[in-house]
Amino acid sequence: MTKYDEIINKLKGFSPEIRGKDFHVQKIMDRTISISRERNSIYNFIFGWSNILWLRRSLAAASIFIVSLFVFQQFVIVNRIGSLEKRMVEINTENILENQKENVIVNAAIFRITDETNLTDSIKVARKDLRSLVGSYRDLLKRYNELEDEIRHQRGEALISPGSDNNIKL
Amino acid sequence: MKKKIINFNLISLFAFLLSCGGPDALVINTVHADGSVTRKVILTYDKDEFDLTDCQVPIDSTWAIEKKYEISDEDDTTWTLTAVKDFASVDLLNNDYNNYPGSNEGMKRWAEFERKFKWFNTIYRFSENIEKALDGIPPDQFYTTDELHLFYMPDELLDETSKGPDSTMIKDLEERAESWMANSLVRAFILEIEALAEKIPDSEIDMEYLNTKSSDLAMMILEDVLNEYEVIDSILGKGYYESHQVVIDSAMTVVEDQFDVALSTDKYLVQATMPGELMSTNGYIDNDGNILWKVDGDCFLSSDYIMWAESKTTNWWAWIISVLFLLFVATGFLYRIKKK
Repeated sequence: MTKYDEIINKLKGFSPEIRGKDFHVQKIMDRTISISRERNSIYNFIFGWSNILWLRRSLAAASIFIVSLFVFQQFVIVNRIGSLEKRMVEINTENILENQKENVIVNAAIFRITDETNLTDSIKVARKDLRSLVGSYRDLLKRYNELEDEIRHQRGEALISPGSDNNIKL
Repeated sequence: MKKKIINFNLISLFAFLLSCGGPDALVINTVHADGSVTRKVILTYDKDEFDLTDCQVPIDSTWAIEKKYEISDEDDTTWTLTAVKDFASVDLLNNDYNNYPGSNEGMKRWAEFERKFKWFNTIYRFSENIEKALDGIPPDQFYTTDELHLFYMPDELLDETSKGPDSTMIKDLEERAESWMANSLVRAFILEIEALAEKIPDSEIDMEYLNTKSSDLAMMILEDVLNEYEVIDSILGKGYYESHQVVIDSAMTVVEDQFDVALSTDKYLVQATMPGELMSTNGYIDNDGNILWKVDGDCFLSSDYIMWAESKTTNWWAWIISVLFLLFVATGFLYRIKKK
């Protein structure tokens, strides 16, 4: 046996004694209980109302009211937005302004025609018909110009490739 | 009276988009959540001769005005005047309406804005209103729902619609419009006689008899054979006009003056943009989500013309509060069940 083992054996013989063991046990138990109580008191503080009948009923009623309000409002909104579909039209601001420009030109033409035809042998024509006539004339003129451009374009191509079969001869 | 019906019809039904030879107007209202309105008026004309004192809607020198012209491929020149002004509230807009001696000064116009808090959403309602010209037959009592849809449709759209499957209905509507107008005039005339007769104790006008003859009077006006005095005598009995000349003449003058307000309307288009999401309107919604209405004489001839739109914005804070509250209550109930 070495000297080291002897010292260890002697130390083993002197095991430490805890003074006031019961006191410490009680202290630890008290602390554990107090933590548990503390935790319960926070929940109680927040949700304590659930133990009070009138408060429980009031909050339940308020919740039902909020849900009902939400459902009702959504129902009304969806219904009303759904009915908007019938009122949708195929036009935009740009079209409106273009239309107004065309309109003032046609109006000016109509007023010019009205002024110039103030003769004894003139006939009465409804403005709608006159407007339709002027509108058609303008449309025809536009198409004619487009056609003329197309012909010019084709003619240009014909000049570039004179051998092609699809060339328009003018 | 008949002559005026013919004139009125020519203007409102047959002369699409004609506005007395003056500039065409598009009035754009951008409505903001705080009730302020940015109004933009776009006038289009074939010459640079804009008279701001005689415009369809009030414009003056306080507006930001910009003018430009455009020459089309067909060498047609069109001038566009754009006027913009911010109105802090609709009351200021109404002040302008009340004090503007423009081409539509006979019309009583006003705008309204309303904001309602509805917890999850805030609802906005904006309307432009025109008081009826006379006490005639309201269009919704005369036309069907489908006809009303066409009746209030802006001419730009009606022009397109008339090329489609609704063309027959549009033609029928034009014919029915004359009858509606004649009946409206007769009703307004009879109501005016009634009001005058009450003021004159010895007028001895049998209102019940007059009411029974109203449709015959309207029919005779439409036939356009006799003048108004002969119409009265032929329907109500010989000498009727002479015996009640004072009342009839006064009533006729009043109704004709009222009719003139509608007849002399310089038509225009109103467009509105609402804050938030559009919920409902009696206007037409274009491809850009703007709301469109036409303003012409027949729209407000016999009933108040209310161009309204409603929109909503979502109150996200209210949603969060509601969800948290519901979670709180639900957890409370779960806690109670668990504790038991």
